[in-house]
Amino acid sequence: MTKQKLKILIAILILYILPHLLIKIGNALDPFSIDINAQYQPPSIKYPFGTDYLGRNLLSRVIYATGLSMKISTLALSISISISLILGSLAGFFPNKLPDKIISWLSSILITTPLILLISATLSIFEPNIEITYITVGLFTWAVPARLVKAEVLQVKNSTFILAEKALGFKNHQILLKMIPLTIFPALTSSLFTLPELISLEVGLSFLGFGSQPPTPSLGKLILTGIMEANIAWWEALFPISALALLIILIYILARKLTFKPG
Amino acid sequence: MRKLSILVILIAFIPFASCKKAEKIETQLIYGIENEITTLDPIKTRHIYDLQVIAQIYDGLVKLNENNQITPSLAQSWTTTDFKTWKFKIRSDVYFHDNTPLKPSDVLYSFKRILSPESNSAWILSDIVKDFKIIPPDTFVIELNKPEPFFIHRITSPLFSIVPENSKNIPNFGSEIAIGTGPFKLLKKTETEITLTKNEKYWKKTNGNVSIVKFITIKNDQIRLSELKGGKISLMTVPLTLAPVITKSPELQEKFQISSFPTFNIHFIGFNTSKLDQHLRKAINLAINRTEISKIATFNLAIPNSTPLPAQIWNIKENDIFNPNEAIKELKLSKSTPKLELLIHDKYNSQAIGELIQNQLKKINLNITLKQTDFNTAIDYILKDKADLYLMFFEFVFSSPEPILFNLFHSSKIPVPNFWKLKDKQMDKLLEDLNKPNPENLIPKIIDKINSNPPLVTLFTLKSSIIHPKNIKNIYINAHNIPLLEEVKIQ
Amino acid sequence: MRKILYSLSLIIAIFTFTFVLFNLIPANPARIILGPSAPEDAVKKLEKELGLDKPKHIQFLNEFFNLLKLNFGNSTISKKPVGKQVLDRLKNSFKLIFFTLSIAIAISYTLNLIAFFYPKLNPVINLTQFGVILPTFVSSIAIATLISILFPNISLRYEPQNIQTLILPALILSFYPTAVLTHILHNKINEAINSDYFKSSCALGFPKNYLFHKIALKSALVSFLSAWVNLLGIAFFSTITIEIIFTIPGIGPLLVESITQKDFPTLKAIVLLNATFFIIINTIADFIYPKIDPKLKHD
Repeated sequence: MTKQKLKILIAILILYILPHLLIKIGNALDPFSIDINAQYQPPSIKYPFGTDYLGRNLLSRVIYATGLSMKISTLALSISISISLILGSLAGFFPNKLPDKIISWLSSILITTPLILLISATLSIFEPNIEITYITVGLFTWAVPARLVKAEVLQVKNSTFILAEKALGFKNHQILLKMIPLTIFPALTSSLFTLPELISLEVGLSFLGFGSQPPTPSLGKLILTGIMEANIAWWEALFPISALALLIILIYILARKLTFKPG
Repeated sequence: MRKLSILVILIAFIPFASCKKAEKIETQLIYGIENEITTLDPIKTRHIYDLQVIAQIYDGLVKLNENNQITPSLAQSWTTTDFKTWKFKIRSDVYFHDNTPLKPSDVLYSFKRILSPESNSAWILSDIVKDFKIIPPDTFVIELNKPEPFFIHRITSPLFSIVPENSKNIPNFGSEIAIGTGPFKLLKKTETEITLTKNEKYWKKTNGNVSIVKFITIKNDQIRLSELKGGKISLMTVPLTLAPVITKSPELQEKFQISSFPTFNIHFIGFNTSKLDQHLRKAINLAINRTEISKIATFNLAIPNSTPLPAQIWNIKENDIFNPNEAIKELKLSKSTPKLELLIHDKYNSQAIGELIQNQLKKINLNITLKQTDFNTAIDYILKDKADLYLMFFEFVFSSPEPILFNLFHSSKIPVPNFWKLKDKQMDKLLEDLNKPNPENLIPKIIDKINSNPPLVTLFTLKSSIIHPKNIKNIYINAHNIPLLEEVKIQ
Repeated sequence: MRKILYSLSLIIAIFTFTFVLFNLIPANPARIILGPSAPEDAVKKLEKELGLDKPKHIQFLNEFFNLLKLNFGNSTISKKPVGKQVLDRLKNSFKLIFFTLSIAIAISYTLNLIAFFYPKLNPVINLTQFGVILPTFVSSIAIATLISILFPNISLRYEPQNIQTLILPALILSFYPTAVLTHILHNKINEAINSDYFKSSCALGFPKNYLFHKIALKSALVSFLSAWVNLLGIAFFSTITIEIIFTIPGIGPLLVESITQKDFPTLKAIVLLNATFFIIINTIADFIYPKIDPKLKHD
């Protein structure tokens, strides 16, 4: 396996393990215990990030919430990539025929309409629930990756390798199956760039009320409470927002390192 | 020619000169409210915030004053011999805002209207009232179908305001026009602003100096607060979301004053009594630290309360029953150990309350999970039996304890408002005996019975808190959460 | 013409989607409107009034025809017509969005103009790359919170009557779009500078002004425009979040309200009107591109 593909696999592994790690660490530092005498404490040695309105340790809550948001986003990403691989390949394999037309039409809708509206409208008919949230996000965000996959498939399709297979008499669906491993890696790396968008979506959805049930912390809820109480507790706003920014920058750097093609 | 023109100009200025001196300084009271007023017709409203404005425009037969005593309003006096027939002497010399005199026929019309199908408050009287009558020249009679000593407490709310009989000929009565006998007249109404002006011909002599009252709708709490700080509004209710900011800001404490008043409401945890056995419910009742919840989640703007009657309003002795050791003992006696989920909604800081309750129950080794939905869905679930434990609140319309207890716990009131489906023959009998004169001894018995087999766990009574600059005096809110503005003095 | 039909089909698809979403759910819209304490027969009466007891396909057609008449029904919260309310809020939101993007265009144009005439400033422009990394709403929230903490007396609230109050939120929101537009414009202009056409024009002695506007900018225009259209969608999201946080009377708070109170008519209208708006803008942009750059005329 080439160095490039190895790097990609390691990156994906990190993306899946890191959230669980963060949640474990957050749990270990106890994000849930209420200490009513420690309401609104500014950052100190005991509470490096300060405490919130119920005296809970903000450091553990932020770590836990970052892990949770990342977990939800990576799960949504998995669903999104899976769908985009299947649909993108279909569209690329039968360009301008019926499957392609339908898939392109659907992806047009998903690209022009603001996703936050479609997703929040769908979620509004359910109770707030983490599983439903990430499944829905995944179901609506396959459009851009699918286009990339389709382009990739079109390119590979006309490559000599495939033409040779066709000449040798392999049926269409067999060729299709063989192509998927070839196209998967470029698709995966480009979808890493959509991960920040998914994280933003998840945080934005928390603003609208979707996400975890109390007392589980999520980045969106932490940021929202933090901003509202920023006048009396600036640490409640600063640390969650910084955590979010840091997470996104790290993912971006990761994605850049993977896609940087020398020469 | 020149002299003439100068003379003309001088003469032209005279009226302006005198105008300036004759200008009255109008004292304005601007009340910032959260919601838009939906209607000014007392029978069409469902919301307390409409009633806050309605109470300034209209009067009822009786009114609750700032000490929560019943005082005569349009009824100068009332008598009853058997608690079945109530006779009200209607005050003479009262005029509606359109200068027509108040007659007993207006009172009759208003009450009949309250029992009509288009009224939202018919349920308060429909099961007890038999008939209305007028005995000329000035007596209005209400006949009940059974004696009820506390009947007068059913009609103290502004829901029972008196409207003129010829309002039936006004098609936009309540939406654009409102005519009552109250201390303030409706001057202008838009979607977000209502302007009232002082009724100079009000039948009661008041010492207030407010000449204009405006209710301005500002939906967002923080904007309303900054309007208050900037002097654009004179007062507003302290919303729980801003309570920490308001109570901890030295700048606000210096320039403004917070006044709190107890009101007829309770916030409680309701049970589905068929799913949780008596010992489990009693354990939860004993394990909740209401003082802590009151302090942390409501920033001391609530009164911790363990009886289902609003606190500090009647002479009900309040015992703090918080006793975690007893709770643990009760829990051991319980045979059911269901998976408990507390349903919370999104009003009145329910999230913090739910989290505190979860924490307190954890201390007696009872683990519950929380589920948060919006308020409407929560009510839906409760009515459909989908919630075993739920956080909810009541705003009572009655001003005495007997009807409250009856409505909450009598088996005939299942499923609303007897949400917990309490069916206890002994309790029913006690509640029916409340109808007899002098029921004070019964109430402690009923409360003891409730605490031994709790269908609900009362948490606190939320006070109505307003914040206003220190130069506004004599502002009170009665227990119906109605501001009494006619005595307000702005210095 | 085909393009217009295509766009219409997209709009109809969204309409069908919202219909399926909100009309085939188990909750009863009439019950939601009347509240939990209403008696059952009042609910049935309202159901009849709203036409909810008819079969689903009839409801679908009824709603469709209502839509053509621009009737979106009444909000379950305020009982008032939805269309007007949503349009008012949309006006406010789009005022903010367009102002934001105008600022972005103005700044990116100015920066690139300056860099063109003083090439030494090029590295500075490269720094804008970093503004592109953070999703717009993160930078917006961060800056906005910072301002409200450091300067508690500045009001970030936007009043529709008072245009001045629009400036600060628009500036905050324009951080990301400015970075993106500056970056794209910069890249495209550099591309153009390195083209033979440009080099020969330069040699022929055309004035720098002409070079910049007529040649460099023109080739960048298409990418710039398409970036702008994309940014519209991105800015929409961040505008909504900023509105929610700073209670600007735009579409954001209305969205939150209609979601938390399950006001489906309003929610439907929000989704439909916004989707329609974006589809229209994209279609218009699609028409304009070939006009600017004839190379794009083929399909």
